[in-house]
Amino acid sequence: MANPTNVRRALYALALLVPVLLQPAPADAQTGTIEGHVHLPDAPPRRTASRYPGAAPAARTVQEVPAVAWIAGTIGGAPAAAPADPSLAQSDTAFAPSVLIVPVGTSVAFPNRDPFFHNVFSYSSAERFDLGRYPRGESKAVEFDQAGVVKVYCEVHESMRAAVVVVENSFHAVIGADGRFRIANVPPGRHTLVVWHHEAGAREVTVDVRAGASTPVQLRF
Amino acid sequence: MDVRSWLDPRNSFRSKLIYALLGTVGALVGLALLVVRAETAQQVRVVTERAIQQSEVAFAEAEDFQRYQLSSLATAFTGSIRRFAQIEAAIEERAQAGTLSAETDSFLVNDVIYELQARQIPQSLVALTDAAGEPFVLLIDNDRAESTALAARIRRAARPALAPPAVGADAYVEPEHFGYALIRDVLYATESIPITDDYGEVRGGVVLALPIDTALAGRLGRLSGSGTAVCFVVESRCAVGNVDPSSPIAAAMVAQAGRTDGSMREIDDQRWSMVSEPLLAERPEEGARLLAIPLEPWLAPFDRVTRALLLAGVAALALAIAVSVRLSRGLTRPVHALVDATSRVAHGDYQARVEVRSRDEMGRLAGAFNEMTHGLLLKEQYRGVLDKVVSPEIADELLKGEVVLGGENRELTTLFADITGFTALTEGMEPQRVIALINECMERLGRVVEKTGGVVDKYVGDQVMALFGAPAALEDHAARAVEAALRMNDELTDLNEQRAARGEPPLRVSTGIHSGIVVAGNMGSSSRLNYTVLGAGVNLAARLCTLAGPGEVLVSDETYRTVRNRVRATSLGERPLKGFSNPVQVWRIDEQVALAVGHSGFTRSKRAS
Repeated sequence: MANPTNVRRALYALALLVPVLLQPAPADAQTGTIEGHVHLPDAPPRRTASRYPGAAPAARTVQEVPAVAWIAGTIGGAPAAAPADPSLAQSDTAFAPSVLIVPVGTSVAFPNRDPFFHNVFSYSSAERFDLGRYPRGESKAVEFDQAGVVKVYCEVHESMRAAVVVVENSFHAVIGADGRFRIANVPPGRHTLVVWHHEAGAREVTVDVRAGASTPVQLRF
Repeated sequence: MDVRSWLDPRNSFRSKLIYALLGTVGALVGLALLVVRAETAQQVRVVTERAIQQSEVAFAEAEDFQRYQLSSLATAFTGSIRRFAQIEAAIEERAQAGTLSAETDSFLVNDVIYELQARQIPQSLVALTDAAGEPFVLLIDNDRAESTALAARIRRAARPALAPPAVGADAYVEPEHFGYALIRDVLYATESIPITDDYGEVRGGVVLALPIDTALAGRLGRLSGSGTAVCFVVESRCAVGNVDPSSPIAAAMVAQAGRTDGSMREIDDQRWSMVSEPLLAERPEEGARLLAIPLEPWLAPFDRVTRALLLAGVAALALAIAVSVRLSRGLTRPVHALVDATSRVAHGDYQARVEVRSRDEMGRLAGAFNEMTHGLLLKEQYRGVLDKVVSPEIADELLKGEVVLGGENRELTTLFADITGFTALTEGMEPQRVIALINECMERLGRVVEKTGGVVDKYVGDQVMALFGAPAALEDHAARAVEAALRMNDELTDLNEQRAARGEPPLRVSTGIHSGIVVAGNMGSSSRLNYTVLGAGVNLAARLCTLAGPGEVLVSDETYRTVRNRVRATSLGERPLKGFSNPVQVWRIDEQVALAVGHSGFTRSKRAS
C-alpha cells in the first residue's frame, strides 16, 4: 500500500475492509458466490489533465475507467477463458472498451478507428509497450504475459484512459457505477480478492468462499 | 631663544603670523579634502548604483531568458502524458516491491534519455521525483547520477513546486518553480514542475535544470560596466563567475555575499564596490549574485585631486612659513632697529638713524622716527648755538617756541661795559690775537653777568651789553647790575695778574649802568630776530659807559637811588650827555657795602682803585 501523501490519500488509507460473515448457501452446492459492494472514492469531477501549470485546459474530460474485482492467482481446474479476438480499439478519442480483462498470454489488438493518429503506450510493469503512431485502420497487437493491471495511455490524446487487467483465472467482475459486483461459481476455499480502482489502486481482501454460499464483501476506498 | 618660546604666539609676532597662516592654509586644505572625500563617496554611490541598476536589468534579462528557455523546455518535456505514466508506474512499482527493479530503472533512464534527445533538450539535469521530491530518475547530461547528497539537493529544488498551496490562503499562490541549485559543483537554474493525476493531485514532479555557465556571468559583467566581476555565490563559494574562483576578488565576493553593509573593499591595491543581491528575492538563503565594480577608473581623478591638494597644501604651508618669516622679519627688523635707535636717543645720541627701505607703515614709522631724531638733533644743535649767542634763558624761551615779535615795557637795568683803550691796545696786533684777547676778556665778563643773574644782550666789539631784569624779571636788578660791574673789575684784576705774568699790559673796563623802563622784546623779522631792549634808558647806560673812565662804574640817579643803601657812591654832579637835552645826575660807585638780595657766591668786594 502506498504511503498517503496528502489528505485524500489519507482518506483512502482509511479504507475500511469488512469481511462479511457467512450467508445462506446458494443453489449451486459445488461453488460459491462473491457478492461485493465497493464504496468507491468520492472523486471530484475528473478534470482535464493539465500537465503543465498555466497551460490551456484541453476540451475533453478524462475517460472513465471502471473498477475491477478479481481473484488473484491461479485456481486449479479453472483456466481462464480468453474472449474471442480481444481488442482495445481507439475510437472517438477514447479507448473501447476502457477496461479489458484478459487471461495471461492473451494477445490484444489495438486497432485505430479514428481518422487520426494515436500513440498507445504503457509503462506498467506488467507489460511495457509503445505502439507508436499509426493511422486509421491499422492495428498492432500486444501479448500480455504477466498478470497484473496494465494502464494504457495515448500520448497524443491525454484524456484517453484504459486498463488491461491480466488475470490468471476466470473469476472477475467489472464493478458497476453503484459499486456492486458479483463473482459466481467460485470454487470454495480461501481466495485473495483484488479490487482495483484506476486512481485509488488495488486492494486485496481474503475471502473464504464456501460451496453453495454467497460471500459478501464490503470494501471502502 | 629656544624653540618652545619661539613658537609661543605670545612671544613673537612671527609665531603669531605663522600660526595664523598655517591655520588658514590648513583649514582651507582640510576643507578641500573634506569636500573631495564627500564627492568621492558620492561618486562611489553613483557608480555603484548605476552598476547595480545595469546589473539588475542585465540579470533580469538573462534570468528571464533562462526562465523562458527552461519553462519552454519543461513545458515540452512535462507536457507529455508519458511523464505522468512514468511516474505513476514507478510509484506503483515501488509501492508493490518497495524499490524499483533494475530493469525498470534502466527502462526509465533510457526512456527519459530518448525523450530528451527526441525533444532536443540540451545538456541538462533532469529528475523525475515522487510527490515528496524524492528522485526516481536523475540524469545529468544524459548520464544516470545517483547519490544521497544529490537526492537531497533535488528534493530541495523540487519541493517548493510540489508543496500544496497554503490551506486557507485567500488566493491561489502560484508555487515557485524556478530556483537555483548547486549540484556537483555546477550551478543550475532549476525549473520544477509538479505532475498531477486526473484529480489534480500532485503525484510527482519533474526537475529540469540548465547549467548557468560563465558566459552568463561574463554577459552580466559586461552589461554591468566594464571590468565588473560577477560571481554567483552559492553555499559560500563562487559557483559561477567571470573571475577565477580562487582569486582574491572571488574570495572577497564570497565573504560579502548576503551582506548589505559597507561595500567598499580594497583588494590588491584596487578598490571595489561590492554588491550582494539575492538570487531569489523570496529565498535569499539560496544564494547571492555578487558584483564587484572596479572603482579605480572612477576614483583615480579624485586621488589625483587629493594628491594635488596635499601637495599644494604642503607647498602652501611651506610658503606660508616662508612668507610669515619674511614678513615678520620685515616687521621685526625695523622694530628692533627702532628699539635700538630709540634707546640710543634715550641715551642722548641724536645721531641715531633707522634705515628706511620699505614704504609700508614700518617704513613710515621709521621715517617719522628719523624726522623726530633729526628734529631733536637740530634742536639740540640750535640749543648749543643759542646758548652761545644768547643767554640760556632767552634760548629756552626761543626753543620753547614762545617767542613772539613785539615788546613790552619792562623795568630793568642795563649795563654797558667797555674795555678801556681797546683800540690803542690792539693797534698793530694780529687779528687772531685780538679775537683771542676779546674772547678771553668777554668770557670772564659774560660769566660774571650770568652769575649775577644778568643776561648778556650782545657783545659789540670790545663792549658788553647786559640786561638785568629781562627776559626774566628780577626784583633787585639794579643791585645785581652794580654788583656785576664791581665783579667785572675784580675779574679783570685777576686777569691782569695772568696778563702781567705773560708780560701783557693790564686791561681796564669802564662801566655805565642805568635802571629804568625800557621796551624789551623780539625785534627784527619773523625769520631772524633778536631779543633786546630799546629806549632812552639804554642810551643813557651807554653814555655813562662812555663817560666812565678806566675801572670806573657810573650809574644814573635812578640806579643810585635803588642801591644807595648798599653802596657807597660819589656824586659826580649833573653832566650833559650826548643825546640828552638835560644834564644827567651821575654817580660813581666806590664800594659795595651790602650784597644784592638773594645773591651769594661772591665775597664782599671793595672798589679797587
